[in-house]
Amino acid sequence: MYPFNFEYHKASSVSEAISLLNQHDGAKVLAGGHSLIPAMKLRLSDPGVLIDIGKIDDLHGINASKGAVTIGGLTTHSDLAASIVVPIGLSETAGTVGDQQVRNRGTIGGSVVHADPAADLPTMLVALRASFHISGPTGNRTVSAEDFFTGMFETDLEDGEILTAVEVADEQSGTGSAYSKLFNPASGYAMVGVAAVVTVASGKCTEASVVLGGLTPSVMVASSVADSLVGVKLEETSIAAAAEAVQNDLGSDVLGDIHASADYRRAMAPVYVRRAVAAAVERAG
Amino acid sequence: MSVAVGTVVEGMDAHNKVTGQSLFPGDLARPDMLHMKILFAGQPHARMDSMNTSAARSHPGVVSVFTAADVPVNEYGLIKADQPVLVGIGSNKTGGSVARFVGDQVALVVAETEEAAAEACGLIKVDWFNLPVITDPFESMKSDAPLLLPGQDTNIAKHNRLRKGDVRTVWNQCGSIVECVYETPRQEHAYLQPEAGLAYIDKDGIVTVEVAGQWAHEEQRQIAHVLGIPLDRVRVRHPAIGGAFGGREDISVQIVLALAVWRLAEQGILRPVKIVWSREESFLGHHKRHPYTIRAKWGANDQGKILAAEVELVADAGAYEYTSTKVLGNATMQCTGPYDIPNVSVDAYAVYTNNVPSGAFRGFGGPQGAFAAESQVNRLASDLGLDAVEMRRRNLLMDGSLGSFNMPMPEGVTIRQVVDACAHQARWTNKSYASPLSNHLRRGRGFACAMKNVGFSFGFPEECWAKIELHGSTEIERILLFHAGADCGQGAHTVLSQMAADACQVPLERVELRAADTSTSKNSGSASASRMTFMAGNSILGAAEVALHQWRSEERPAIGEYRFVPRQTTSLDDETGQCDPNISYGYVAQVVDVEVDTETGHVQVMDVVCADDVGLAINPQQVEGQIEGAIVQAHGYTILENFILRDGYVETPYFSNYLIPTSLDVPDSVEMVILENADPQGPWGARGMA
Amino acid sequence: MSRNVTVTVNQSEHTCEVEPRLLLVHLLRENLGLTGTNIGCDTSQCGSCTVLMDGQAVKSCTVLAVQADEANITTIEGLAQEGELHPLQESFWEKHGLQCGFCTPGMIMTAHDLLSRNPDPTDTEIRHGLDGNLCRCTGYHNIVTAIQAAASSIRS
Repeated sequence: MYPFNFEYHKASSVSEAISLLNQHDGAKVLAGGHSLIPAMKLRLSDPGVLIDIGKIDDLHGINASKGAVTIGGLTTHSDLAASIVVPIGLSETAGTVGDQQVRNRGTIGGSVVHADPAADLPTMLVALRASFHISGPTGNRTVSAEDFFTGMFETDLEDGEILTAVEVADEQSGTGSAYSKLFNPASGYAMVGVAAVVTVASGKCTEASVVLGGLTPSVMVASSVADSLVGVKLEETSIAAAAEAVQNDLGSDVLGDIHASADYRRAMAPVYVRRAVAAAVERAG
Repeated sequence: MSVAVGTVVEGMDAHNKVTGQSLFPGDLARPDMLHMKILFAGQPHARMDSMNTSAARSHPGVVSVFTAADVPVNEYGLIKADQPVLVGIGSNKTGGSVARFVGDQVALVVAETEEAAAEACGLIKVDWFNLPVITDPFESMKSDAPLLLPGQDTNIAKHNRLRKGDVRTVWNQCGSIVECVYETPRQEHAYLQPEAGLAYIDKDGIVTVEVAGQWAHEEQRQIAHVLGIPLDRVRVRHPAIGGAFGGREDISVQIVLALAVWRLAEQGILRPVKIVWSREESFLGHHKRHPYTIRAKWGANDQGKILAAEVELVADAGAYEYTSTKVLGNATMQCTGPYDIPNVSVDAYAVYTNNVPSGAFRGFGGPQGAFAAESQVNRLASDLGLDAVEMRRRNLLMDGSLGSFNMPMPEGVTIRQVVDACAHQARWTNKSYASPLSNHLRRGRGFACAMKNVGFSFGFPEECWAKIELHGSTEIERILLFHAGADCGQGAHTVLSQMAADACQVPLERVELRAADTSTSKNSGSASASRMTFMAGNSILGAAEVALHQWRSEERPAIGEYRFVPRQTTSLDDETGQCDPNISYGYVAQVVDVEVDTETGHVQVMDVVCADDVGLAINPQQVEGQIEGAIVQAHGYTILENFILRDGYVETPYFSNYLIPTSLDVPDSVEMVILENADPQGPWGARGMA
Repeated sequence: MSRNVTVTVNQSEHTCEVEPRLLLVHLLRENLGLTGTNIGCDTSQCGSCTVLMDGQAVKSCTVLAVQADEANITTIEGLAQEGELHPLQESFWEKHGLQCGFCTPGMIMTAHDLLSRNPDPTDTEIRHGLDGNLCRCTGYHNIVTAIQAAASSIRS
């Protein structure tokens, strides 16, 4: 299988990558390539020009300091899954992406920028209230994960910009994060993916962030669920009751395919919300 | 004394497979070879009105383009030659310009590179006139349905009728009557090696095709038929075969490869041609397991004796016959299970549609029939308050039983021993798991049993050839075994060698196998129908006997050639179906424990206990491997797999949407009970497994 | 458009002129003639094409040859050392961890990555590690057994 032909440039620094991107109209960034290359092989994507950023050293690595963890855009799912400094929900999520080979090549930056509604990391990163560092021709900027995802395969990233890093806060004691998903048996993609971050004090929930993936065209914050959790003593029944509130968040636009219809996904949403929240509560201690 | 049979021998080809040295068809290369791509119809039912290949022909790198007009005899098929090799203008067979499913082939592009050939395929312009598309076999059966194939007055490819006793007279004696409709999905073989092959004309002018198949001599026959040349001008050779499961029993790339090199040679171009299908082309280009709709009404008396079974089966045959009429026979047999039922009425239909053709797939119609039969027995048992195993024991066939075909079963009926062994191993009780594991996880356990034919059925001619050469002077230093049997991964070649060593009573290391090549062997039949061990073993025994006789007469080398022909089976009587359908049978029973997530519907198969009577396990390690692999295919078939067509178009063209089991899906444990009750006709007593 | 790519494959260095769209698997199979690495799907599912790239298992159908520039690649052909089969090759053979053998090179390379991360895995961990490799013949049981046997042999 051969993709359409394209022009290839290898960037050795972020500034070179940005400059190359701005020289070539419609050029796409190639990181691990695990979203892009499969699409190109099936000739669903024909980028014309690829700027390979895979060898830019600055984009690799996970650094923890001053209450925050900065994850380079080229950090692979595999490295993220093995990391002990990132919130446990994030390493857990990364460990559910695809399979070992895919995790060895796929990157956090690639996953975020591709914004596939069935991807896993965006869901968890929104729940963790991550921020994304972006470099472009006019300088650097930072955007919150929630504002970054604007639609199906659509983000706030402008032409000529590169996502350089993802930043999340350290997980404090009393806070737990977890991810639960109904996965596509072939690709491992989320048909329903739920990320939950819950803070518990004296048995009661003081803060909750619950985010849905796989269900809707873009990552969705389940604020009704979170609202139902906060202030409540977290037990099996109260979590189950809060999970039912997910129907208020979902709206009418639920995705479906031959593996899981929209009705089935909708029915499964509270189940996976409950499982994710329960696991997060357990981790919150 | 056994020197090589009944013992674990590691696969002969395994060294090459673990080191990457095995050559699968896609790995073959010859100097100066060309590459071919096929243009598929992409139309479920349409007549070609025009085709323009000029842009393709002038595309850089393209050497030639072949269409229907280039096919000497434009028809092929295993049972019936009802499919055009290439659909299109200029076909010399009636109806040859009509595409009847999306995977009909319409043009071949041969080019310097695969890419150039693929690009040129995209430049061929075809105008189609749409014809009515029929995708529902029940619609297709109606008398006013448009006819799909020329020369037929109905879309029903075959109707099998069984009438034994009279079901109508016994319903009122039944304490329980269970009536149910079962639907089974279309299943894709999904062998890991997509179709590929290399063809060339050798120095003697022989059209040679190296390809993965299941029956070299049948492939040779069909190629010769299409090219209109004598059999001995065609050679088919099987290199390493990357799985088959029935999916390579019909032709895929064999004929078109031969056609291409044949026509190129006429143009003075004597270059090899290679083709490799993508996964999508493989899914589109070969047949599937038949979807069946089975309506079953069974009745039993209060003691659990099954008195009547009335069954109607409708199989979607797809666009052409392939092996549908034969698969139907097996489903007809299996739909009443391994039970002695006095009153049977079965009507089974294979019906043409504009779907991807259906054909052979492991079990060959058996799994569909058995699914209905076993579900019926379980329901009857449950309704009568009987244990599912006890219910079976009261109805199982035994030696001398008539079976649903109203003829005595061949000697060696061991289904009762198999059922008992399985129940014993699984510590079967009729209690399901009473207490839930957690709020949402429940466990359940089920029982099923079945029989499987060994060899071609219903009068289809059976034969198997082998030749043995004994080399040496005072002792046999080397055995050369010539045999055409295909090793699709099941380990046939290892078993053939073991049997030759044993038949000649020499160590296995001295056996050298020349296999799967029409130029060195005569017809050994297909590697299918659970027949190869049984037929090949008998042919090897015969050849060894002749060779050893020669050896004792001081012939050097001593050569024995033998053509084994088993006892003749008979075809179904048109009215009653009465016949002697099969040479012999293997028997199986299973207990399966599953865990169901009641919140999500997810089913996890936990533990499987499987008892098989294999007669004799020639190679126990391989027998166990076959059972484990088959269980996981059945697991996929039951829980995951569904090859979906919509309006005749494939909706599941990739592994990303056609789901087969992964390492995460498979049962935690598979416990096997291998019974070895010798089959009176089997070599060393072996039945259908190696 | 073509570029030079230098890859070290099974310890020998090759420089090839390639189109950017050339996939690593085609570089291995066609340019270098290493046909042990197989292609079984179009969509990065089956894992038959798995090779080690700088020690990690990757699906070579989903890596461009240009991305492998300067990388160290090991294919199934490079696993045996001086005629000695790798313990994984030995155990797949001995434990009947293969039937048709088409998935086997990819399985073995993935197992290699798995054991390098986790030298003493449980059966469940092995199953998780293999979920990107399809096998249609064996039902996976003997593959898991073979990997356990290899792990134990490597540990000792």
